[in-house]
Amino acid sequence: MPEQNAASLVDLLDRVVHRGAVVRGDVVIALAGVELIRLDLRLLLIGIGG
Amino acid sequence: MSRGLYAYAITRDRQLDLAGPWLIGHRGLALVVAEVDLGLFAGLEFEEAAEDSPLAVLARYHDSVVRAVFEHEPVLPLRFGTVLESIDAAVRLLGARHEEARAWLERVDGRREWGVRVRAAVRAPEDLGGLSGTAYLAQRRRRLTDADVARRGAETLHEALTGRAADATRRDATGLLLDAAYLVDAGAEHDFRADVERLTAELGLTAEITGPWPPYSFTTVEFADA
Repeated sequence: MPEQNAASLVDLLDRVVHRGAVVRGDVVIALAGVELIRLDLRLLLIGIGG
Repeated sequence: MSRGLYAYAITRDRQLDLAGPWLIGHRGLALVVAEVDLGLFAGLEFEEAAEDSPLAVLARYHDSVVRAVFEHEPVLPLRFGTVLESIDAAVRLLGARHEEARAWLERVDGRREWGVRVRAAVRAPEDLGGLSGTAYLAQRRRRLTDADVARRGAETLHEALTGRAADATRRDATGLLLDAAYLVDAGAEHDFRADVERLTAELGLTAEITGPWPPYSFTTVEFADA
């Protein structure tokens, strides 16, 4: 029987921070902190499997 | 304090009451935006992403805005932390990427994302110390065979679900036999979920389903303003 969970924070961050459309170019303001989080998240997602 | 226009999603230009965020429309498409203080995004730390951490609060709010739009219209969720310079910049982006964005919206229209994850079975450790050499090897072989059966079961599940879905995407994750997302037509959701239940039971797997989600995993497109 599959379990259905409320969205866990990891699932949510995976989607909101790591996926979705990216906008680049002059129109956007680069947020240094956000770029760092994306890197961190990638590392964490590699880690959770083990 | 520096301010900008936080952009949550691209959608169709409609009247939507979002209690805060608003739509900047241009030629039938719209960006869902809200004015933000850029200081909110300084020093966010993922490692402290507890439920009440600033990152978690911002990400949940981002998701809630995307979902509020998604209840009424198809959405292209934008990645967390997309901040535009001005209303002019938003209009410029919508103008430059109009056809592309419209095509993506059509692609996800009437569909929702479901996540399915299958874990490799975790066995209780057994004391193999008392077993004879032959029994030990037999035990070890049985475990390897079981693992192989589970791995093939997860592949079968993924193939079957991909057949049910409009689109599927899969990620390699250590320790997981399957970590996938499926984009499913609203009319096929009932069958899709029934399939997950039936197949996992037949294949002896334990699956977790998450969703429905806005199509986060199926809008991995890059919009440049040029």
